[in-house]
Amino acid sequence: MNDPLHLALTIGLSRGGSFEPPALLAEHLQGRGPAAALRAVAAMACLEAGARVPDSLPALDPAPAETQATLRPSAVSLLIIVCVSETWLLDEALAVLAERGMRVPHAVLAMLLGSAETKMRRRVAAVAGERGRWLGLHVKAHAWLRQAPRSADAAVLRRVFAEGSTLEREGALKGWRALDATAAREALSLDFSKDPADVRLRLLACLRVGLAPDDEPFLASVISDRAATVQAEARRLALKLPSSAISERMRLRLAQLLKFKRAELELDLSAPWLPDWASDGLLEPPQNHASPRSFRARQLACLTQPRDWLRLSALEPAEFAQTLCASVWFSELMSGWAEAGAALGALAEPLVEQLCAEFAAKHSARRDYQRIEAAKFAISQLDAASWARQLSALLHSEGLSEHAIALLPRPWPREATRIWAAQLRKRLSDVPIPKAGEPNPANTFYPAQARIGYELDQARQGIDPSHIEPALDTLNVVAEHPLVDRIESFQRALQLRLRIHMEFYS
Amino acid sequence: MLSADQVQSLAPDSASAAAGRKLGGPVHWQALGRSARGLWGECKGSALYQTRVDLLDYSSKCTCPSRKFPCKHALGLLFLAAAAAAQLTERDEPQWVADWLNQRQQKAQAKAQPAEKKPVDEKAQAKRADARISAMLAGLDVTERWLHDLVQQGLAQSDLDQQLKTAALRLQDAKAGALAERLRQIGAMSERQQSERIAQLGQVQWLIDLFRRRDQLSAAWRAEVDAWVGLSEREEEVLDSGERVSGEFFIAGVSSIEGERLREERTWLIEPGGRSFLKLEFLFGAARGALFPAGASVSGTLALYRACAAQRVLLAQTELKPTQVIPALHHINEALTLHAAQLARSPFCRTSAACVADLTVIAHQDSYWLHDRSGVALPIAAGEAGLLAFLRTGAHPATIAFAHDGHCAQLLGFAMADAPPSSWAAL
Repeated sequence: MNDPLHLALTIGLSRGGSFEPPALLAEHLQGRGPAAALRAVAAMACLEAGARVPDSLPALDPAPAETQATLRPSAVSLLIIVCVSETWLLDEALAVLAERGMRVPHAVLAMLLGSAETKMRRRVAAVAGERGRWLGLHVKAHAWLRQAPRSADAAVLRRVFAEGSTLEREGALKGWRALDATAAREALSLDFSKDPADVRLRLLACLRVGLAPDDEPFLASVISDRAATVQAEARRLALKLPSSAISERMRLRLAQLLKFKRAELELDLSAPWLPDWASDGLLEPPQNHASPRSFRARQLACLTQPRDWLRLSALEPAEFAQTLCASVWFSELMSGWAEAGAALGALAEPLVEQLCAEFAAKHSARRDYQRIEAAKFAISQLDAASWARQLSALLHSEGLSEHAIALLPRPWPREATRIWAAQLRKRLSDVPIPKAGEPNPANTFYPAQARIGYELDQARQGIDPSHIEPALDTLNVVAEHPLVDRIESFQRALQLRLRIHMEFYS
Repeated sequence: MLSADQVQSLAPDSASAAAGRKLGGPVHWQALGRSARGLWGECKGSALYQTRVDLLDYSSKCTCPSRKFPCKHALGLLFLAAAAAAQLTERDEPQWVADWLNQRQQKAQAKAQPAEKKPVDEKAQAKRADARISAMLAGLDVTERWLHDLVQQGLAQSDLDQQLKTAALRLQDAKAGALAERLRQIGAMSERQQSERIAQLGQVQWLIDLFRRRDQLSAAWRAEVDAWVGLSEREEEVLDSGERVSGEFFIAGVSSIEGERLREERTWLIEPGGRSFLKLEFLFGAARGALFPAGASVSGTLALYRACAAQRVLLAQTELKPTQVIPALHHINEALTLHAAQLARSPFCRTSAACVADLTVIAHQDSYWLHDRSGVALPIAAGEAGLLAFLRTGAHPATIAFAHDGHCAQLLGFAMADAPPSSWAAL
């Protein structure tokens, strides 16, 4: 706009914008009126366009190679669909990718950057890969991508752990533990005491990844932490190491308290606990506690391993399971072990067998609830062969279909999904079909929807594709139902959710 | 068979492309098949739709009620063919496919036969032409008066856009449609394009001057000026008597310019010497012109519209085929030189297309540039294509096609330097 000709035309020739024809054109232009000015400006533009000398710029270092895997083509298509027309699923889709340590393809990253809202930046950064970080280095508008953590680079994880937010530090520490457990623990131990208690607790829990005997000295030091919650977590971790000092002490104490008489489990919990036990987490119950003995039994279970109980009983696993189920301490022990994430080992299979037999005998609702929780815990530790043996009994227990479904561990075999589908089909066949124009019966598909939602959530939390098949079978049953055509959005939404998981996990 | 990127380039809009992708899995289809001539399948939607695609030019027909072309079902079938060609087994064409393909073949053959010319009343024709030119000249006179008033008062007027719209309507009424469209495009320019806006108004003055003297112009110049004002050659005339160019032409890409009334769809073709040709279609709404998958080639003969710098073409006798070698220049300066030569032949030629090998896309001061081996750089027009190209190429060398006006590049497509032509992707 500094060009005098352009300036004259912008101001207006009658308003003082003086027009001098460019020397190059002077002899070709007649007059100095508006027509001559317009002809001149077009000629100059044409000359400039034809004789333009282009700019020279230095080259740019090319982007480094990607270190993370990306999606296969069908999953890329699905992600593009989500970006363009199903944006309500974008958060979920990116979360699935981030959990898998995958990156989005470059073309999809461009789409995400073009449309992603600020609140999605964290999600996008997590799946942007090397190309995203490289973009962040060169384009100011996308500088926020520089901070995206690399999943497979210990140096970057170290930096993120040192400088990031608590959430970023947690993620980086887990990743680092998987790469180099010792270096990660050493970095954690350096300034551990300077963090607030809630941060210490979250970071300490990350040591579950790659937990090994050489972590014990650090855990032993943290057992005397100033926060009770941190102490408890350190104890839990140390107890997972069979050779740790605390495991050994707890075995000795258990031997003092546990008695078996005529295959009956007795616990001597009435005497006051010794003061030095408190440092290992065995605390006296609070005053006026409704059931001090129950409190102590649960504490004891939390701090001991089932294998030690089995060894002290000198019983076979099947006999021990029977004794345990008959014991007044059943609930306390099972919930204590479940809370501590203890390994049931050889006890798991006979325990499930015992519980199945008791389900068939129809116990009271309260005990059913407790036993279902216990059975879920035990089943979660069964190997595939043991589990298959239990399955039929679980599924065919008359009147216990809901319980049986709740107890089914993963992966479901074909038989389980077939039986579940048959049960759902039967339930849906009882639903009256309203005439056209009448509202749909409320909650018709609730059980199916709940099942699919549960399976997909489990799939995400555990990053476990074995949950996909039951969800798919459920969806297929629902799709057969005549009402589904009237609830298209339901069907479409479920199908898309399902496809996201199937495509991204497979 | 087309790649997924090429199928994407055929979609009328991004929503259709996404919908097509959704249908790109075998679970949505039954009775899938293919022959040497076409693809077909039955898509299970809210009804069962029969979809078929002619492999000759990727035209399609579907029994769905969609007014988009190609519809999502046809795109879905093409996406499926791109991702899982094995799902489409070679089979005998069912009746509904064979009938449609035969019908298309017959129509194409009939079109190739010279049509019987109806007797023309030349006197009446000349009278009509004179009346139209008189009306156009009258319209141009009014436009020139308005233009001069505008220049006297200055272009920095708050209601300039409205004035341009009104002037365009007047020209439309005077049957000077092309010049009217140019005024609309000038009105749509942003304030940052003020220099370009002024230059374009200067060209309007040139066109008014030249159209008044059209009887004194050479045939080529007259055709050029007539076309820019609104007297285009008819397609039949171009196909009958237009200059012909034969060979193989690379389909560099398709760009679309949204006008107020019409959408201008520009398909850029590049011949091995680097000369670019433009297949131009003016379309209403969501309509699509002929489908040209970017990265493929057309082989055969093009008919050129008469002009000083003939660039606009019709496909006379061509067939689609996979590209063996992308016709690429080696430096940005070569592209600029070709454009300057084009401008020297006609100052109204606003854009050319070029394909240059070993280019990188770089970021400089928060904008994106094309950069060649000698360090020469050409800015990329604002928009998402720059970011997309930057991310997809990662500043690694690529063969990139772009349309440009000498100042700024609008990206059309690319293939990485070490990748085959079949990997060409639209931008």
